[in-house]
Amino acid sequence: MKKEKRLKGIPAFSGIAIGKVFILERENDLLIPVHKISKENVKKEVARYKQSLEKTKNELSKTKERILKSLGRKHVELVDAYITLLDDRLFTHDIVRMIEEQLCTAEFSVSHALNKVIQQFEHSNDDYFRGRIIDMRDLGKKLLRNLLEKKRKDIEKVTSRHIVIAATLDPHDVILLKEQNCAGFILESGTKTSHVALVAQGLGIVSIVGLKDITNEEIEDEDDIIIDGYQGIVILHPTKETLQEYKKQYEMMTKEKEEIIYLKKSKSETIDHRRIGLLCNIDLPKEADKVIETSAEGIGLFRTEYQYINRNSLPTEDELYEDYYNVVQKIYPHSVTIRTFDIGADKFSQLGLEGVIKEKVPSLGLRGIRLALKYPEVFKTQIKAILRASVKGNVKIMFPMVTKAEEIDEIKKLLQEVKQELKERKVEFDNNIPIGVMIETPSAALTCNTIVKKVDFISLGTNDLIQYTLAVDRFNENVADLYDPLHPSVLKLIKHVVDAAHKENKTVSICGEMATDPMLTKVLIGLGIDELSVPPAVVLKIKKIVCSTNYSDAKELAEEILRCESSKEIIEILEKEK
Amino acid sequence: MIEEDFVIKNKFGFHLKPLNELVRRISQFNSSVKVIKDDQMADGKSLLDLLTLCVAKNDKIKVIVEGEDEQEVIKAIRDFIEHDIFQYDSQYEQEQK
Repeated sequence: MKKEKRLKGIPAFSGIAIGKVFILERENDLLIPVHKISKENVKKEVARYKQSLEKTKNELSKTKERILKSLGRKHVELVDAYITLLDDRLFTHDIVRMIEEQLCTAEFSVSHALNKVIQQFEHSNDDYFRGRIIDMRDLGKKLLRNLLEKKRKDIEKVTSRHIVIAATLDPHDVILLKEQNCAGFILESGTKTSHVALVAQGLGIVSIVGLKDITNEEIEDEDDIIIDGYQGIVILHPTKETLQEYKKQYEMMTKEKEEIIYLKKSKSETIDHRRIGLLCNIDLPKEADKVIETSAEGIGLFRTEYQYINRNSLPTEDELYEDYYNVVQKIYPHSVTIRTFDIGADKFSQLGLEGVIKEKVPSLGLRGIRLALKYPEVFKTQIKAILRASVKGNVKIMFPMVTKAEEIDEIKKLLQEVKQELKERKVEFDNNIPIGVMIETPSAALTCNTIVKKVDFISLGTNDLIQYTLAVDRFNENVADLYDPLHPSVLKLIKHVVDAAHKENKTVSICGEMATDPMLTKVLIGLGIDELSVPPAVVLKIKKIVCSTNYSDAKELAEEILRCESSKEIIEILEKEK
Repeated sequence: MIEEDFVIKNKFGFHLKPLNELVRRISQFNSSVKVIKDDQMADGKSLLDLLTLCVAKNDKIKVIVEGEDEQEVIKAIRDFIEHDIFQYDSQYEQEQK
């Protein structure tokens, strides 16, 4: 019995794979046997070289076809470059000359010529050029394999129980391995960003690269082997206990993975088919990628504050527009709700604006829409940028901190002016861009029936709504314990807003932290909320609850809770629900 | 003979893909093209030669063109280094995502 041995490499695609060794090709399979030839053999040697060059090119063309079919155009360019490289003078002339003039074997000439190229790349400090070393080795191997007529073991003999071990693989091989359902692979060459690694990631094959000398380890075909991609280790000759432990981990992971895949695919609706929109809040454009990954139905709140803080001049219209459009086109065809800046006067004075007075209580001062209306030019610049980003028709615009309906009239007047200006500039935009407001003050909540008539949608900013309703600053530790999302007054206000909006057939979403609390999801659904907007990281967690909730039960739960006289009572009910 | 100095300004320098295109364009002409970086010289019609120069952003290179169509060649090279090469940056960035 051989002893268990653990080796560290670079995980290309994380995961756990348990299987049997399949050694595809050992490093020293490609050692060059003879270096010199005699004069009379030159012609033959050159012909042999040219033949294998052609053969290699043909193989690459086939690889190209195959990659085109299974991975798409994006991955073809590298193979294309390989083909072009083989047309380079080095291969068509220099190597031939070396065979003819120095009487070297084709194998030696190829490896000598490529080593010289590799040396040049080794001098570079640039990761990209250093990365090309692998490409050159790859090309060299292909040529050598054909010259030495060394057949590798047939990849088609690989099965789902196998973990393939080789010195190198090219992207084509990886695709073949995927088709054979191979459990994983381990390579001597490669880095995290080498082409093979990227393809393995794309196809989701558990793999370790850059594990030098693995093909020279004491292993034989059909030995037990484990890849732990999370730790980047390979375990040779695992003991019974190790195998047991990893089998358990593997099963657990598969279950979780299946659930995530299932959740991503499933519609966000209750068991009794009430649709609950599940969207994301983002604070920065780069988070849009996470939104797509998590299968959310768009962005329910794109906060734009980041564009106005930590700087000492105002952002330009183009600057704003570029960020918006970047997000909007990524999320298309789903919608993006962009909220105009919601910052306090203190942050605003840093932007070099005059006439901003320091405030004692900023949360009750010039903030949100109040500040925007006080500085209409700054506000209009942002609206212009948002409108320009709306050409695809998937943008909604939302205004923060509204406390009375008249403010919406003022906003609409400015919006009209901006639209007129853009029309004169002949700039395209969505003329019917939906507009909405955040309901985050008790005054707005209680007069929601008037407000909702003037807008297309309503979003509940519960963080502020709770703060203003309960008169509690949740960052003030003296009163933080009084901050209570389940205070009956808060729930009654939410219910009031939902009813007022639904009476006018307008949708209501929640983008505050209440939406991210799994314990409250059922209650919010029961209160009639149409959309939940949460950070990308919790989308699936909330979706899971949505999908396992019965709307009719949720409604009953909400009614029961609305009758409660204290949050303590409510918590007791929710605890029982769990 | 024409000599011209360039500073490479695109984000990723002379990567494989843009070089492939540059070599394709240069190869359409008869003139000989040499590209020099530091003390290393490369044949402008050889992809591998140019690649091994390892030209990254802000590197200075000298281009020497000689032949009957040298004016056209240097213009083609200038157009490429000063304009067309930048499109590969965004392409590359997108791929990285």
